[in-house]
Amino acid sequence: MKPKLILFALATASLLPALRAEESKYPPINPALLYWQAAAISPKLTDEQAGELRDTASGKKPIDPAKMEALKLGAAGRILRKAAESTAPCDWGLMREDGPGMLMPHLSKLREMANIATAQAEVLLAQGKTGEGLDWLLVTHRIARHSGTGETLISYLVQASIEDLAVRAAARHCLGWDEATRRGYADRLKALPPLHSLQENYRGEKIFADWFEGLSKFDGPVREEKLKEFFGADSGNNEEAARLKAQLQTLFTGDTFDKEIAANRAMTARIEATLGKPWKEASPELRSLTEEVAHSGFVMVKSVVPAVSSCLDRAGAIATLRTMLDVALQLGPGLDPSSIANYADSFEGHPLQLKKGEDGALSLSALTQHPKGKTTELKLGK
Amino acid sequence: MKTTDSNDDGHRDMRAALQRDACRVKDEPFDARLHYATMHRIRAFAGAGQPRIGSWRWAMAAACAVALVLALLAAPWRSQPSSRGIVRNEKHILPVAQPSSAWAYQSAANESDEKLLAMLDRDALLLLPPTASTFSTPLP
Repeated sequence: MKPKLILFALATASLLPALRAEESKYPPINPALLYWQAAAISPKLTDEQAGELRDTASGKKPIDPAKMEALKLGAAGRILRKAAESTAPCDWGLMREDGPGMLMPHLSKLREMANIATAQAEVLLAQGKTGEGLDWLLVTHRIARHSGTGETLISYLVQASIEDLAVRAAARHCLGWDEATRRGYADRLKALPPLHSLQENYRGEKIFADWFEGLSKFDGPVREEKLKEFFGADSGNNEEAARLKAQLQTLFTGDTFDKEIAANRAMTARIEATLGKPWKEASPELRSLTEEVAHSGFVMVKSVVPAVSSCLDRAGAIATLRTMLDVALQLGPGLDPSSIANYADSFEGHPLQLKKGEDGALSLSALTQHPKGKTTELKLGK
Repeated sequence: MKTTDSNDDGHRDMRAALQRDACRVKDEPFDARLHYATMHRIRAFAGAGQPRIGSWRWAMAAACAVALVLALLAAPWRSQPSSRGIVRNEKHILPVAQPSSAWAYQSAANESDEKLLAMLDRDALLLLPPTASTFSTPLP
């Protein structure tokens, strides 16, 4: 065994200079730029095709290989994989100075590409090409991480929805994989960069307060013009819009604004600190902060601070789903209630529940519902 | 009859306007024959069966209305009603948000995750319109 290991190490070491030379000749490209290139040459989908793709990716509809074949990703598929695998920092070039008007068109395209990658994986897995299928599922996992780059709650939610898609897709098949495949996939998942945290993404929400602060520095007419630009020309026809616009304008009188912005920043700092705690501690704290926000006398608190309770539940659900997938990859078809006793959800830390459906299908679920009425459940299959 | 008078009035106005314009051309003397020939052609274009004074105005108004309808149909944001002007609670203080903007998505997310995802899916179809040759062969 030892000589083999030594030979392997030597072979790897001899390849390193060549790999380094390759990397310096073609350094990794900002994945954001590659994603846009892939999007630009991807086939244009109709409403119906996009819906079918979503349903295939989420497992709602059986795979139709003919339709996937018709998709003909070609070069777009290669660039999409290159984007997902790029090790360069992902920079979407977001114009933070635009505050609430900041454009984030990449999020919708990334979601579409995640659906394409997952549907592609489904087709390959159905054809028995497990290795290639798993490569595409890893593309989806990586797209999730790149979508979370952007420091906004929306980026976080999109990241969570794409990660959810990839985890559920792997779970639908993992009980049919041999042990080496399951362990190999588990190792590759562990090697992925971590998901962007909710706290990290919430921190970026200060762009809203920054934008209002920027507005306060303008003279009245310029500020009025900028508000009008943001509200849109037709807001005058909307009674509520006009009322809210008037409410906003009052912020900029006297020393009101300084007090308002200070209250906003103080509240967002408290929420940000809370989001750094485990779900069990953060959840009750966040509920009380949400109450405080709802009853605040400050417009910049009551109307500008975003609701994050549902995001916290989403974070708990994603972490729980990952634990469930890890359990399934580790134990495979040998999964039974006693073997999962030591695995807990990321909410209150209750042990995971193993369920068997009428059709014999297994699923793992969390004991409690967060948010109320929504059970975090992962269906397992072959 | 009143109708004939008003028709004559309308032509008189137009004739006067054309004559004023012709007077501004200094290099060439006014050519009455050319003027009347032009008038004749204009009347022919306007249609012999439309003798009422307001006919050209109606035509103009109709053209404007058609242009307006086409502009409304062509405007991309008109197919995205939920990203504009929807105000449901105090969270939506800036109700008319630019499509694909942080505020538009946040407003949708405040309602539900599903609403946000639906908005993203719709926006994905509207981005990068199919002008490239790659898009010229639609999927079956």
